[in-house]
Amino acid sequence: MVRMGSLVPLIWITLIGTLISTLMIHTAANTPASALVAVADELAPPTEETPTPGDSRSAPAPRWCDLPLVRPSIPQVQSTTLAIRSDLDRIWLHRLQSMGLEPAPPASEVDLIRRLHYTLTGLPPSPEQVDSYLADDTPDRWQRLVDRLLQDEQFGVHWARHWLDLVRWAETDSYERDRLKPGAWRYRDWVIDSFNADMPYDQFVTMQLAGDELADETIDHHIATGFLHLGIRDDEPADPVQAVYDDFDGMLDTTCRTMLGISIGCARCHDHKGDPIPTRDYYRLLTFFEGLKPYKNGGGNGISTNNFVRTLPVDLGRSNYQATVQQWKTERSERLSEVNNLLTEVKERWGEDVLQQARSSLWRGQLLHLPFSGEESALKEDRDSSRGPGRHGEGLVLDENDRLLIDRPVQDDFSISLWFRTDRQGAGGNTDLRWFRGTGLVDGEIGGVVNDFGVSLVGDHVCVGTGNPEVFIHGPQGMANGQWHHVVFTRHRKSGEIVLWIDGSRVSSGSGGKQALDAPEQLSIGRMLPDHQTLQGSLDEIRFWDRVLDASEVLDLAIDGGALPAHQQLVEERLGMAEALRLNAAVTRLGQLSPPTREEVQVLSAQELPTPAIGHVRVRGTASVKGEAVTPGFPQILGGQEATIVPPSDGQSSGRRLALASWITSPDNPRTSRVIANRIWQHVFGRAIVESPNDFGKLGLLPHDQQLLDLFATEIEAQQWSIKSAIRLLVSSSMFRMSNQFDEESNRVDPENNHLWRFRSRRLSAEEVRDSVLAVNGSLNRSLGGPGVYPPMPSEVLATASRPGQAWGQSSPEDAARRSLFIHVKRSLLHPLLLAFDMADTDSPCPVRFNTIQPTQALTLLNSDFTGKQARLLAEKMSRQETTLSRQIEQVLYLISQHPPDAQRVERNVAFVESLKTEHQLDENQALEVFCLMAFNLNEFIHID
Amino acid sequence: MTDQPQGKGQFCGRTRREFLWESGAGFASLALGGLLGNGFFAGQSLAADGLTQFKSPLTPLPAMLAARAKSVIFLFMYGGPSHMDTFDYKPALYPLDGKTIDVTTFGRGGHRKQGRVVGPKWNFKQYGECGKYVSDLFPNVGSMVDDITFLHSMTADSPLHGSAMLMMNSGKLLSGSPCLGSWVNYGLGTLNENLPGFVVMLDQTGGPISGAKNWSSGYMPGQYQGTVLRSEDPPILDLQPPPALGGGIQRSVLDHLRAENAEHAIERLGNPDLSARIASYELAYQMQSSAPEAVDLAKEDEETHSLYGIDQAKTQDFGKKCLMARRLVERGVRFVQIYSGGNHNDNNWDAHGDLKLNHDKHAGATDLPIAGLLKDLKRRGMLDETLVIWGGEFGRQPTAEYSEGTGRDHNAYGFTMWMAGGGTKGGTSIGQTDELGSAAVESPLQVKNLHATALHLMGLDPNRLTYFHAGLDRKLVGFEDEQPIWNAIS
Repeated sequence: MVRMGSLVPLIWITLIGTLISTLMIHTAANTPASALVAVADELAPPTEETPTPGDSRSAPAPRWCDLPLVRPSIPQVQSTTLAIRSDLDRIWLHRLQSMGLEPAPPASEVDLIRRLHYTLTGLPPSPEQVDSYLADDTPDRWQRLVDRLLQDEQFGVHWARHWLDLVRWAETDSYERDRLKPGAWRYRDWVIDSFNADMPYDQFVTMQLAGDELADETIDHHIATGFLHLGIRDDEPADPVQAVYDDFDGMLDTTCRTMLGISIGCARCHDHKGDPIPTRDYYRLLTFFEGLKPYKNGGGNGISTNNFVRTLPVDLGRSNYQATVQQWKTERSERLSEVNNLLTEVKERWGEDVLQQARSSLWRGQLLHLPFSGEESALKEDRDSSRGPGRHGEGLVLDENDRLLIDRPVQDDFSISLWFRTDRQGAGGNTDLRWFRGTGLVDGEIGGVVNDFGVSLVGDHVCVGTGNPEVFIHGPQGMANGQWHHVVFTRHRKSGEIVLWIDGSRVSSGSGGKQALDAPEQLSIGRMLPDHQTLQGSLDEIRFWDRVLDASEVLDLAIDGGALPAHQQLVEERLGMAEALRLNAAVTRLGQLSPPTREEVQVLSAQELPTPAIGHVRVRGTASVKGEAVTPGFPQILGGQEATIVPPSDGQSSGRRLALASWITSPDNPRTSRVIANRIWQHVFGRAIVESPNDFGKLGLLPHDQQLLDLFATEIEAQQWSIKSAIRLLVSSSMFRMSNQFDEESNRVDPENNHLWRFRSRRLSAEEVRDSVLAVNGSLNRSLGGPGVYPPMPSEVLATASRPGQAWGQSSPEDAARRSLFIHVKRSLLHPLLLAFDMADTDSPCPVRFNTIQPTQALTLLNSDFTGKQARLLAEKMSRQETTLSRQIEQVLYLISQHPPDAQRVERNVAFVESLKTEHQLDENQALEVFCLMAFNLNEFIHID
Repeated sequence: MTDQPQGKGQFCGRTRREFLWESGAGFASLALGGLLGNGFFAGQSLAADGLTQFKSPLTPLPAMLAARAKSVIFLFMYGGPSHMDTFDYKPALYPLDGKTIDVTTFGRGGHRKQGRVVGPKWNFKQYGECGKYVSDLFPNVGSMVDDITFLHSMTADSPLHGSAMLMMNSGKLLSGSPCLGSWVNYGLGTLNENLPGFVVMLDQTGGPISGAKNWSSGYMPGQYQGTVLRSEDPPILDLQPPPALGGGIQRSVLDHLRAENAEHAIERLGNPDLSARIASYELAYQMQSSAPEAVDLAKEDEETHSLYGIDQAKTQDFGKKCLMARRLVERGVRFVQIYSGGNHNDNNWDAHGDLKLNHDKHAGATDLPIAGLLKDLKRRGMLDETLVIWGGEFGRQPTAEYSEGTGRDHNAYGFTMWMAGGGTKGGTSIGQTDELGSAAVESPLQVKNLHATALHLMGLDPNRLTYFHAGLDRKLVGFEDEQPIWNAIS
């Protein structure tokens, strides 16, 4: 066994020498309170504002962050060692100089490129990106790199994560059922898009609090209000009233901490002991949210999803959809009457028989017809269904748990035709359009990857699919509109092709398996075969053929006859060429006339009660005990004004939240720009100026340098709250371009590096670790947006769910390689790698991630299926790209750190790989794979200088 | 900033230390401080020799009070066992079987004022010197009653699984708070750095509802969350090297990795995270051998296997877990939680339909193993320093849930839990429910009293063990001071 090399003691010794002062403080950091009382005093932060004798109790002096924001005066400052690039640099350097601190020298170019890429996009630069930067000798290359990365859509992905940590974004409710929050992913995408579009921060805040209350709103304004509904929600609370107020509390608490840096939670039950926030202030603020419809209206385990989830047309109904529909209806009925008139004429003059004869070819191969008018001998079971008005005469009327079964008539080539009508959306929502998630039309679903098939209504869409492999296709929205719709599902066994036709038009096709679809013994009509999800509506004229219908046959069924070539021939023979051409033209037009669709999306969004509640103090935080009535207003520490509320003209809400948003984003609010400035600083420089970013109050920490924070905050305001401009300002500074070089003297003066005398190196975040592994081996899928994906979850983790088989989905390998931000966030089942590397807690706002170092992280990176597989892919890539072992090793080391290794290092690693081969009898590929896995565990991979 | 020791009245006081947590332990040196603990400097002489003794992130910490127990084994009867059919003898209930009576209940079926009594389905008899009545469901546990302290007047804030589970595990109805096991490890650290300090073993049918929320460290860092341990290989996720690293390859990799990382660290003075990370790989390596050894039941003799019921199909699974728990606490694991029951409905103690079928199954699978665990701990002299807790998230109602059948609905108004060892009295019963078992009437106890008792016995002051989060000094027992169950303590 090889022990640590001879150089190691030197490191340890040096570390002791240089770090004693720091460690004296921080070894105490996770010791329980008892052991720490003694050291607490000595660790007291800088003294607060000195209370004025006499009047301090009645009127405490305002805290620094509640005083108006004023641009500080800029000191004259000079440096012989670094370029002064901005006023921020001036204030920073002035402070360092006044403390006798010397800034570290500039960082190396490669360190800077790596640092900038991670800071802006959360991803490592590619070798090409590094090379092209190094080859560029123009003076503004840094600015151009900054601009290019700010334009990169991966910027939004990385910075959205910072925001999502604050708003406790997750896609489920927690508790027993841990239900999906429909459309939560759209909020995530909206945040990404907002960062990428550089939405001004005031607008960003306003849209989340009150997008629905703004004039000229778009669908995005509604999606943004999903912010209000991201928290945990007990579906079965012991005290439903309290639970509703817990939900409001979550909204208020998140708003105050995230946007104002106020921790207000204490004041829910008692006057805040730290900041002067009385309970009354808390409830005045809570009233801004009390107009929202509650997530629960009663007991039981239901959640009133209609109170915060709805389906909205993307254009919010502005385009004249009804007129388009009317136009379509008119034309369709004109063409249909043309067809009917011609056929009626034939019928009247030559009798019904000739028409039937012309249509007889259509019935070739028809194995089963269920007209639902009279006895249906084919039905093997009929549970509770009834008959009523159908598409033709009587039809099948279904409600509750009705179900009918028939023996499956087809398995190879087939066509299934049916009519249905409902005004209720099918199961499964509108995002995951897989037939087996829906409500039954004609279904043969059998669990697992088997030879099955079915037609269902999923949300607002007709969906069809075949199993093994699982292939799903779907039609347009708008199917649950109370009108009859005609559906044909065809399947051609030899090619595997499946086609879906809606109302005579071919709308989708796909390529499925080519085997007999013989898994279900029976098919279920109007309900899913596993005995759930009955259509609440009508079905009629269900037909099965053992062949694939063609376009004219499908149209003929959809328009009740007249579209077949035989009809045209009949008309030509009997009525002449001119009439035949008229029929042909009408039929062609009917085939082309698809109903106008309107794009609709399901959104998680704010909805208010018609009459907003009157606010009350809730005594000692108990929701059911009402105290004094309160009106919406602002906390005393920030002026204590009453809110001016103007209800929006659409009459859909109270305007309260808009009043709150206007106050938060008002230029006079001293906190808002300081809070966001502090956060941007935190994510660029590793630590914030106020290190308690969610609490600027008395219980929070004081800024390391208020002038620096205030200057940056005023700069952000001056740039109309452009986040990109703010970030650009920071990464363009000399502060950002320093190295992290250690200096004993500076370390003595400022051991925590609070004043940034050197750059702060950091470990990659959980998401960055996973994304970088995928980026390095080239398998990262950089596409943006859409519902969450499901990378493989270890069976050990799945076994912890109360329904182990149903807890997690399955994504394609391409989707499984998406960036970590797009992994579905299920509160009770989190991704083990992200969890190991300190992902944000999902249940409360997370202002700063923990930065732990634990053996479980080592186990994850060494032993997990994920890193093992990714190391293999990296080794395979290297084997393809490079011919010699030393080049392969050189390239891997370069890819993980962007630093080209020197010859000695390559040699040392070649020797290691060779020793794997000789000592452990590994072949070349195996040894290279082990090396790649080792590389993912190197500190230079997981740390940024 | 408070300048007094924390405690009464200091709702929002906190120390600077806690701010380091609040600010995400963002200081570079914190991780090292945490990782290497107070032994860091002492360890350096060894490191200079190239034989570094690596310290755990859960380095043992001095207790606040004189500790009675070193470890807790929490036998979680998920779903809610019926107290009047197990340990809370209600003779008056038998003759009422089938009669409709006035009784206030609150369960899954909501609030009710009346119900049809389901008489207890098992007979009770007296055991031990204390003469405690125990039902025929638990004859083996019955034989240990002189070591058991029964808490008959437990109450919980919710009669619904989702929130009641969180309540029993984390003291809060809302998800997002650390569990009892997290608090114990936060307060005390571990006695064995090569094993996780908070271990959870789940039922074969799956986790309890809300899954990992039941062993989450909530707002505390991840090192305090429970580690799921399985009775089959590998016991812990990612513990076993993959085939590609088998046969000593991993050791070669680790040696090389350490050399490479050391080289990298040389040029980066003043970055203790880098050294801490080097150390963490050695800890991981040690865990790989320690954890499988700790749960290797082949090391135990036949008599012991039989004591735990491992030789019988019915009791094998739970017996194995109980024996593993003993081996774990023997090796210094602070908190072990074993779930009896998982998944939904009759896969756990949630007997809504057929009480007889359900409880025969779950008691049958656990009675012998639990008694075996108590006996084994006792004969090894370990019971004194191991607190064993038995119970579910609530109990069950004296009346039927449906118009037919024997199923009982949930009952948080009164139910039974018990404790043994770890400084508890034994042979004692505390509190009473009414004669129907519908609600606690004498000395009602809350979940926070149970938690306070566990912390107290472990040497932690439940009213001073705090963690600053989101503007509040959080405690496991809530904002107010809470008392341990003093008369349960010997």
